[in-house]
Parts: sequence; C-alpha cells; structure tokens
Amino acid sequence: MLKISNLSKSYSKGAVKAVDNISLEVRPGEIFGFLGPNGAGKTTTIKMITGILPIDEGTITVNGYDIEKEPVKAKKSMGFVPDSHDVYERLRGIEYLNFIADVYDVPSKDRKERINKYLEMFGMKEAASEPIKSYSHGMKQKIILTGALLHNPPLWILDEPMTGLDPKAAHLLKEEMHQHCAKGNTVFFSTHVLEVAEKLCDRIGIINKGKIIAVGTLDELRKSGDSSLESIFLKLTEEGSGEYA
Amino acid sequence: MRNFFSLLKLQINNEYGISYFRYIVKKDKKALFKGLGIGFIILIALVQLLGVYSFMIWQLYKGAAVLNVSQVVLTVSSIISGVFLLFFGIFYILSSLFLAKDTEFLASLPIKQGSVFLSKFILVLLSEYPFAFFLMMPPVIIYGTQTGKGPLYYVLAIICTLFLPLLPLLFSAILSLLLMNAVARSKRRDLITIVGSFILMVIIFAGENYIASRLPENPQEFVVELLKNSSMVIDFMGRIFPPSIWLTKALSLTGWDSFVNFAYLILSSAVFLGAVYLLASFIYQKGAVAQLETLSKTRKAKLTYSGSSHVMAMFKNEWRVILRTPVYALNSLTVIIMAPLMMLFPKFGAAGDPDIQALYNLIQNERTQPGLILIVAGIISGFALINPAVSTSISREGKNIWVLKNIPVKPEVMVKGKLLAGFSISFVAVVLASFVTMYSFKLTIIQTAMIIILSSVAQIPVCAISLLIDIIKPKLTWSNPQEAIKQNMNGVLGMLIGIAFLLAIGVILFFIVMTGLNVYTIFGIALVLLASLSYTSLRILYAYAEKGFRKIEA
Repeated sequence: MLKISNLSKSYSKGAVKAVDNISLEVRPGEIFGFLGPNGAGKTTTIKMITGILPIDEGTITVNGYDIEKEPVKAKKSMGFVPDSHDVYERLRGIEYLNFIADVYDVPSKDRKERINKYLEMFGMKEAASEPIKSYSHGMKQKIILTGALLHNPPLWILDEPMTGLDPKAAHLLKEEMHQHCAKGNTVFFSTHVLEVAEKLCDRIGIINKGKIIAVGTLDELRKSGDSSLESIFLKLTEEGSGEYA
Repeated sequence: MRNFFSLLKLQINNEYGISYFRYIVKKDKKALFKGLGIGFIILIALVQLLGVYSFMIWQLYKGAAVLNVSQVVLTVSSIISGVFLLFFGIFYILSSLFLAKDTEFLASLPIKQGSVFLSKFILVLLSEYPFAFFLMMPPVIIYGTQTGKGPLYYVLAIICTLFLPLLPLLFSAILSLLLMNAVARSKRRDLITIVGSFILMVIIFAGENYIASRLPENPQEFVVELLKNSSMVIDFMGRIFPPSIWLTKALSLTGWDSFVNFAYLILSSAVFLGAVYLLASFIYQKGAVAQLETLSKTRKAKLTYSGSSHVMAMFKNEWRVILRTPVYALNSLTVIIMAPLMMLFPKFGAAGDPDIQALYNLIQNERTQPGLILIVAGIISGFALINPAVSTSISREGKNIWVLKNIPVKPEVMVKGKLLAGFSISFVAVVLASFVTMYSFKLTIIQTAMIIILSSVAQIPVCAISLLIDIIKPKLTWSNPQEAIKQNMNGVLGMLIGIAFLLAIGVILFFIVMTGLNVYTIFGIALVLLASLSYTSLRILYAYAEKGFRKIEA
C-alpha cells in the first residue's frame, strides 16, 4: 500500500539531512505507527509521502502510484491529517468539507451521507455551520479528520492525530482505524503517545536523526529484552543506532 | 516606558526581519542573494520612477521660478504626500492596529493599551517614511541647490519630513479607533469592519475631491497669491493639508518666521499625538480584542452539500476567504470602488472647471477617433491594476498551503480557479468604471462595450504574470494576514509589471493609430494583440504551474 525506497531529504542546501536514505513498506490491512523524538524526521517523511514536500532522492509509491510521477492518483488514494490545526479559518465547517468533497470527487449521492456520518461521530453536526475560526483546537482537528476520511481513501496518513481530541473522539478514531484496516485498508500514523502505539499498531517504525533505526511488530522489538515500548524507544533513540531493523 | 521600548524593539525586529536577515547572512547565502536580487530589481524600478518624478518637479520648479514662487514645489509635494498618506493611512492603521494576528498575544502582556497602540502606530509611521522621503527629497534637493541653501536647511527638511506623515496618520487613527469601537458593539464584526472602512475611504476621497474642486480656476494666479501671503489662499491651502504650508514656510523663510512655522508643525503633531494616545488609552483594546471574539451560534444555518467542479471549488474558496478576511477584502476590493470613483471624479469634482468642459467637448467632437477608446481603456486598465488579489494569491495561503499541496488536483487547475477569482475582481472594476465613464464622459454604448472588452482582455496577461510571480516566490511565512498582502513584494512587482505592460501596449497601439485606420479596425487589431498575449501568458503560467507548485515547500 505504501512503499518508501531510499528516501532522503535535506534542508539548507544539504547542510541538514532531515531524512537519510530510509526504506519502508506498509502493507494493506496494517496499522503502522511511526515514532521518533522531536526533530527526528517524522513530519518531513510524512510531508513527502503526502506530496507536500518535494523528494530529494528515492521514491514513494502509494497504492501503486508514484507520488512524484502520478501525484493526483496517489493523493486520491490517501487521506491526510497534519500535525498542525491550520485550516481555512474564515470558512464554515461545512464549506470546508464541501470544498474537500469537490476536489476529491466525492459523488453527490454519497456526499451528504459521508459528511453526516463523520460529523455525527465526532459530535460536530451543530458546529459545522459555524466559522472554523470559532472552533477549539480539538474541533479543528475533528473537521480536518472528517475532510481526510470523506473520500474513503485506502490509506490514512495521520500526523499526531490524537492531539487535541477529547477522550471520546480519540476512542472513536481508534475504533475507526481498526475498522478501516479490517477492510484491508491501511493506516500510517505518527505519535508521541507510546501507549497508543503499543495498543493500536500492528507494526512500529522508529526514526531518529533521519534514519529508520527499528521496524517490526512489538514482539519483534521486544527481542532485546525490554518489556515496554517506552524502554525500547528510550534505549534506541539514546543509542541512535539500528539494532532491530 | 521600558515595556514600551521592549515591545517596539520586538515589533521592529519582527516587521523588518532583522534577526532573520542576520540568520540568512550567516546560514543561507542562496536566500540572501535571491532577496538581494529581487531588491535590486525593485530598486531599479524605483530609481526610474524617482527619475520621472524628479523631472516633473524640476519642470514645476522652472515654471514656478519664473513667477518667483519656486517654494511651491515644496508645498505641492507635501500636499501630495499628505493626501496619499491620509487616504491609504486608513488601510495601514486598520490592518496593523486592529486586524493583526498578534492582538491576542499583545492583549495578554502586562503592558498598557496606550503603549501597545503607540508601538503599533510607530510601526506604521516607520513604514510610511520611505514614501514620504521618496516624495519630499527631490523637491527639497532641487529647491535647496537652486536657491543655495545651507546645511541647516537640509537638517530642517529631514526633520520636517519626519513629522509630515504624523498628522494624516493620526487623523486616520482617530477614525479607525472610533470605527472599531463601534464594530466591537456589533454582531457582524467582519462585515461592519469591511463596509465601515469602505465608507470612511469614500468619505475621505469625496472630501479631498470637494476641496480640490474649489481650487482657483487660474493656478498661476493662485501661486502668485500664495507668494503674496494672502490670508485667503493660505486659509484655503490650510484646509487641504495645513502642515504643507508650515513645511513650506519653515524651509523657504528664514529666522523667526521659519522657526514659528517649524514650531507649528512640531507642536501640532505632538499635541495631536498626545490626544490620540489619550483616546487610545481608553478605547483601543476594546476595538482590537473584539476582532478575536467570534460570536458562536450566530445563526443555526442548514447544512448544504452542493458540489462544484475543481476550478469552481477553488474559485469559491478564494472569494469566501477574501470576503471574510477584512484585510484581504479592504485591499483586494478597493479597486471595485476606486476605479469607478476615479472615473466619476471629473464629473462632480471639477464640473465647473473650464478645462474639464473642454475635455468633454473634445470627447464629444472626437468620439469617432480610435485613440479615444484606447486611451480610456488604458486608464481603466491602469486603475484595475490596483488589485493584489492575484499577485498574492498563493502567499495568502500561508500555513494552509498544505491543503493545496495535498489535494488531488493538478496545479494547472488550482491556478485556473485562483486566476479566475482575482480576474473577476478586476473585471467587475472594469465594467463598473466603464459604465461610469460612459455617463461621465458621455460615451456611446458601442464605445463603452469596446472599452470593456479591451480593458478586460488586458487584465488577463497582467493577472497571469502576477500569479506566476507569486508561484515562483510566494511569501508563505507570515503571522498576520496583513503581511501576506501589504508587506508582500509580489504585489508591488505585479503592479510594476502591469504598468510596464500597459505602457508597452500603449506605444505599439499609438503607432498603429498613426496609420489612420478606422476605429473598428484599430479595435480589432488591439483585441487580437491583447488576446494573443493573453493566450501566450496563460500557456506559460499553466506550463510552469506544475513545476512551481512542486518547488513550494510547506
């Protein structure tokens, strides 16, 4: 579903290597957790996957489509929620969702049903007619989430999706992630909350200083003898070397 | 007081990117050279403008010197400067003091609201100085060198120029403070802000035109009266912009007379500043903070689920954001009001003026001349250029650029939607201005239709090039919408390129008109020329859109 090959990205004319020759494959039906300390390269990687940042080296294919060569098809295959809550604040929630439905070609007959499904799920039905400017951070996150899921993409790319969500909405989102993958689809998400990753993910990838230092199921990562994901994460990111890849 | 200076220092640093500049000097030479390159291009354009302006002032000086009233160059340039600052001051003050995004941050600081107001006001004042010095220095130097003035004159001239923008900006500040205080009490704040600002603008514009229409019919006689120090003429000039008289006398007279007028300028500015500061100490924060409060549950609107094509989705999105963001609406939609007003001015502003009557007669008698529609179309196209909606279209996305980068729509299609939205603003301005011109200059419907067609098509290449510039180097890092539109060089570049384009077309068409062809043939040639340029510029824009969007880093 998602294949990353020898991906690299530098800033400041190559002085800062944010992502350094990483390769990764996320399979259909999988919830994949992407972990790493601040500044490790998580968001840069996600921005390249979603076509927001140009790639320096390597390739990314989404659902079989190369993000650089067939960006429109690749982007249609995914729904993306960024880590920021930046969205058109002057629009009403429903106007933003209609815009997203337009550009993702959500059929008219399904549009109302899908919009309402997620608005009701996140308790946003009433707020959808209000300007986004009046929303709290959590509500903005919910409207962006709704927009990302509207077109039923096979791959969800979620950058820190639980940030700002209330416990009920976070629980519902986790349920949705499970259901989505149960249908053979894929979720790729980054998080700092290790407990969430531990409970939710089929496989986990850890990135540090731009390099993938570990990939595997929780059991595979535990082979070192550490019992919790937290201790594995701390040990790996302190060492900064790949023992588990 | 220490708080005030800390705040001012912080705002100046942020506004002019001083720390960022130091950073790119050390770390990012590529960005530095890019910035310097663009700065150099703008500098060349400005030097050319300065050359033209200085030449005009020199001509005025020579004419005035014959009548022994050479100091009038100082009066005229300070009036121009003051009137422009007053008119555009309302934008700057509203944008910086009330519609900026740092209001919330500033409101949370333990600093008096009067100090916050003052620091922001000084920031606006600083941004006006390049304009004031641009207009004042050529006449100051011409007058000073020709009359053999000493160093004190130049020191005095610099001080006077520093004080010149104060009164117009303070006047704008009072109007803005009162308007925003009224806005704070209303429910539809954004709407009231936009409509109120436009009304203020029209009032100022109408007031200036009214005063201008009362100018004496014979300018030479007027200038002579000025020299004779006639109280009537001084009083008249004072009504337009009193500081211009004080400045002229402070610089042209000597001794006690010079000092008194200099003191008038300084003291009136200081007293007015004190009064505005006092007013702001009571009512500034209420007006500013009101912009942060979004009234929830304004109405329980029914959800609609209408669909649109990709281009129309982009188009609607652009319009909604412009209409609902006061700073964008004020800057982008002004052209819709200003262009028709400018074309209406000769009708009312100088209805009794024999020169205007002569112009009417000329148009009436020469209405079959092909040059007429080309000139009017050129003037209207020129006014329609005052539209930063296209040239800042990508920049205005700011942090939301991730949406455009992520949606599965070809950049070419996004560009079409954005171009259409910006063009539609210019188009409305062109149509309204053309109909006003039809009424104002008594043109026929056929002539009006030709003017609308030519002016509209002329906007296409200008819009396409402006958008292309914004794709190549968008200003995406900004903390308040004002920076995206007012402090964006792409807007200035778009206008300069538009002016150069119109001038070039004007020269080509001038030679074609000289061949003596009839009006319809000339119209056809002009249309084919503009349509070809439109097509070419659109092809270039669409071809570059893909590559340009790829390079934009969110």
